[in-house]
Amino acid sequence: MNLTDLARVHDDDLGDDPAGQASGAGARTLLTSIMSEPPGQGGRPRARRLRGPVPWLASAAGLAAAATLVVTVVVAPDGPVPNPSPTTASPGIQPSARQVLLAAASAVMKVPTSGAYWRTTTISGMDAISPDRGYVIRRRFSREEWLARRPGAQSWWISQYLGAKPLTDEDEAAWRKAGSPTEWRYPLDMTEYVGVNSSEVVRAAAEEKVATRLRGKWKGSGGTLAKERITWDEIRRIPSGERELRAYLEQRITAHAKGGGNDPEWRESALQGSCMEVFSLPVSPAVRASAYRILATFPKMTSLGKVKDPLGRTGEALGYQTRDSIRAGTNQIVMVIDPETGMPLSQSSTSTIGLADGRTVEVTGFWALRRMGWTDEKPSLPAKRD
Amino acid sequence: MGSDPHGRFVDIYERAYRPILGYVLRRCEDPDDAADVVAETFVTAWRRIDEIPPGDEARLWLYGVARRTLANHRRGERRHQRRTAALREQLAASPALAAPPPGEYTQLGRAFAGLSDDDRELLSLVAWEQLDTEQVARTLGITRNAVRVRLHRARRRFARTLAATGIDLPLMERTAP
Repeated sequence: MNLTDLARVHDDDLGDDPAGQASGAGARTLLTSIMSEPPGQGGRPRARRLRGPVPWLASAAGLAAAATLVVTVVVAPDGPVPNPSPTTASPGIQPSARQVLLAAASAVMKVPTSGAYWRTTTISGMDAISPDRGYVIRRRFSREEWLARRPGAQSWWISQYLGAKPLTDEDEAAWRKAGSPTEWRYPLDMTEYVGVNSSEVVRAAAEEKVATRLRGKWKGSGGTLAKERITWDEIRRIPSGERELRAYLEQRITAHAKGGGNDPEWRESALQGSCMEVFSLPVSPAVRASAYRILATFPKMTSLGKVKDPLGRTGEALGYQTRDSIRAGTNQIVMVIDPETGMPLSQSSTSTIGLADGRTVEVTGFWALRRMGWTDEKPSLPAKRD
Repeated sequence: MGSDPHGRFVDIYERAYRPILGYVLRRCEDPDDAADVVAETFVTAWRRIDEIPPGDEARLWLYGVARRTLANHRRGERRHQRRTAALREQLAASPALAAPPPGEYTQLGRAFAGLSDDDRELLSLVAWEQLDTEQVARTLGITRNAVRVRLHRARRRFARTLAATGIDLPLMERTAP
């Protein structure tokens, strides 16, 4: 998949579509109507106002920031990151996914409810196969997100590329055999690859931290929900009852998906995604608990027992499979929860891919939460700015 | 120009209608809103017929108008309801628009959606409208050099965002971008 594929419709597709014909009924009616008025009338029309406080509605065209919730990442002065091992489930009797989620719901911690910034620190990783398709490399990234509560105050992201290296011992051996490259250049045609962009150059070395000043619609926003930025006031008004929260999320999803959100599978996925977004927002424990209860109603979620998450922390794992729409396989989605605090630790998605020598390997993308909460500290901004 | 604004406008409209419709549909989720934005774009063009540059540049000029119209359009606003009834009917029946937008929950799609409006627009003009540097410069009213610099930065930020997006629960797909 590439950027061109993200276009909902191509001009060429419109060539076969009645709506796309300049000679068609729609286009003709429009043209006739416009030309029924005298030309050049009234000079330049002024751009219409768009002032009022419609912050996220206004971003209709730019449903930006979807990533943000999950995109909180950071600083990680730590060493090697253990592989996620969702398959090392504990033996014996496991609680059901529903039990795990309901337990998490009752455990959700009380956290301080105010501060100058809502701070989230995350590490994310993405596996890619080498350009010669000989081994797997893992890239890691960190991000701190500092969302200012005070109107007008500046919000920041502090991001850092933590470098790339072969994933397993086997990958490392193959990497050495290939001459221990410290840079990987990818071709234009990415059909055989995962985890990187067309023509991308991946480097082994970590980079310095970069501060990004959040502007525009990010001003006065405390995150995203249903892929739209959400203001602090809206966050405060998110309903805490399970039924009310579900209705609220569904309504936001519908507002966002206007025109094409009728596919039930898509809607279910969107609802799950929104519940996950809720965990990253500065909401009350009651709201978080309701989000867990909503997740507990999804039948396809299964319990995977105790596992280590991608940062090596132990938690209760839940997962399910999704179809990979690009390749024919499936993705195993795993969510790890800290049963003590009821907070999510990580999410990952793993799929398999074949290497040039016929070996089949697992590649994973993950996101792991290191810290989240209100703080009165100030971000320590690196010199480098985005 | 414009001894015959009517003839000229019909000419421009016939050439630019599909590219402008495509441009708007790719950036506006709701087809009814899209119809309204297309109408507003051409209404503006008709009012400013004397400012429209000749040749293919008319299309680039119209992209610029469409871009500003989109930015100012409020969801659900239907200023041109009457003019667009037939077009809306056609769009409602269009098979190309029946499915949810592609990549909505893919890593690539979400990373792309997470870019700033400016970065996204720049990359879209290249990937979707297939404009070259010169054409992007004309569309945005900036220099070619500025386009090169901004494109470079936008691509870098996109690569970074894509990487940082990592996972997104239910749907993050391990797409091969």
